[in-house]
Amino acid sequence: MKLERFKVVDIDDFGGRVSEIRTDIHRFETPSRAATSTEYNYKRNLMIETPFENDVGEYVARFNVNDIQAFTTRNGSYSSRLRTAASYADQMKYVVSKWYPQFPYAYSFGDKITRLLLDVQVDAGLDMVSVPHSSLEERNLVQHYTRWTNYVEEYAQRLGREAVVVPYVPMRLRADVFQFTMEALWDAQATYPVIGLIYAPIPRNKINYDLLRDHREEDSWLHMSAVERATWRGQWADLANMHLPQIYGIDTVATSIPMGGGGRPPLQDYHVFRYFDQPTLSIPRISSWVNEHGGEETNCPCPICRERSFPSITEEFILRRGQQSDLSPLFGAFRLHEVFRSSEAFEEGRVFISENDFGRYLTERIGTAVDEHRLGQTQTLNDIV
Amino acid sequence: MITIEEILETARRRRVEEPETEHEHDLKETKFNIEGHRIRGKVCSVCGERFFLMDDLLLLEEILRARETEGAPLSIEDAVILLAGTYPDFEVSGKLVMQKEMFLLEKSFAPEHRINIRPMEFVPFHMGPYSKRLKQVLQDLQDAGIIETRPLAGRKGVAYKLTDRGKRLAEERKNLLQPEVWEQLRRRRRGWDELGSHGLLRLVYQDFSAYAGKSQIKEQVEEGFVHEA
Repeated sequence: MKLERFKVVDIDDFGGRVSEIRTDIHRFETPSRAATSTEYNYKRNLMIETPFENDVGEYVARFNVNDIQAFTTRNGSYSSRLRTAASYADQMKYVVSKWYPQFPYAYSFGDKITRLLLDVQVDAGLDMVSVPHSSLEERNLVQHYTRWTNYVEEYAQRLGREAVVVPYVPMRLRADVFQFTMEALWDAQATYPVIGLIYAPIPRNKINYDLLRDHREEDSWLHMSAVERATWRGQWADLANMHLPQIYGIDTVATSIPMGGGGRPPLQDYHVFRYFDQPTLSIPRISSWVNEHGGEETNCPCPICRERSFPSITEEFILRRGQQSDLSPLFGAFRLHEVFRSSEAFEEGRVFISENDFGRYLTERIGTAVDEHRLGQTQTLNDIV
Repeated sequence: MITIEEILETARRRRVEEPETEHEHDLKETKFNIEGHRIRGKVCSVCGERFFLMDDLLLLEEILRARETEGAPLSIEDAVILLAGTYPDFEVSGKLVMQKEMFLLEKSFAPEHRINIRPMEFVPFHMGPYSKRLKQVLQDLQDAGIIETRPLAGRKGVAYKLTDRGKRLAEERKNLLQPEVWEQLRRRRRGWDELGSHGLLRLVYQDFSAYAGKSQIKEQVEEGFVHEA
């Protein structure tokens, strides 16, 4: 894939920007959400023939410590990862495909595994090649990215492929290191038209997020991975987290997947699942949603709900197709509902950003939770909403 | 003599009505006279349910399709060109994917949109429905320079893609379908591709279980939900 153009077309005073992305085969606008490999899996397992409307696909490859060990020492591990990555690259061929290596927070990859991680992405034919960060404290992250970008470019050229290199920067970097790194990457826009960001909670990393908001005019595509689905804290619990990074000018987002480890008991009651509510950009448990709405009817036209009630969706996906009492697969159905409906919400939000009315849009949907994302005192835009 | 309408009505009733009693079929071989055609099969002496030999059913399938659709049937060649032509720059990845998407095109999409495609004579095989005729047509199209193949990245097998000549043909053949049906086919092709080979197999085994009878991978296909919440 060749990235032909990334251009910021509208900036909202409160926050957010609309950008236009053009590749040799795709053309779309952001902010928007990516569909992850996990969501593609749910679609496959539930046999949903309706295509995703998303423009970016992210293969999230989990690496725990044992996986990392196996990846560098066993032939089978590399070839298995390659097969999987190639298979996702194929399923995601209608969108810009990329991968995100999800590994333990404090882990820093050595040269050998970094090289293998890059090779597998190029070999699999993914459109973008993600370069994982090295240490979280180092000021020489940029050197690290430069070194591996050169490596990828040479390797891809040898294979006759086009690959866009995406350096991954963790949002939880110390503020000075984060600023130094981002400014260096923005200065090298021709080399790094796309910058990957690893999600960290906004309140705890506000300085870093505000830096991004202050640089919304930069023509670099910001893609954020591993965004938690819901906020967990007190009064704003259940907010759909992935709709918040756009306030800071982050163009595309993808959700995190669980790191795994240990099974769960079979789920017998669908009320414990989360259900995306587009009008409030929240993702409450179905039990709360039913209480709030006074009934089990979803009134949602998406390809999963199709205006049916929760019991009827359960009947369709579990009892008829799977004929089992364990309702765990239903988790996937509601995740797919979220992919379809939250993509629509992003589309809706873009209109408000273009009209410089994004603050009002957010206030109407998430209420006072918007206060946490207002600009600082020195700005003059607090009274927009 | 039995009419096709009677068979379809019986099948419809069986789908929507609860069976009265559970029983083991007691099957006896017989030859049915369906609208003047001799069709081999079996009948259950307990419930009267009829089972037909798939080889003999192809003829009935053609008659039925011609009755339900308008115009001349699409050739298998045109059906391949149309499927590949929905997204001419994207490959159909693998023989299995090509076989299953063409199967779904014939058995699911075409009846839904009242399109008549010449039967590809799919039979149950080791990985679900398989058509030798389709295999031959793919080879012929390749020999004629209409499609080309290349090895799949990172995996065994080949991907199919239209050549420049094939793309020109696809542009012409597009007119064989109504514009809205063409758009629907584009959406369906994308939806099928997004399912991958595993998802396509699941879909085919779920909706056309008769074609999974000889499958050697049915259990693997049916397994595999990750438990997350």
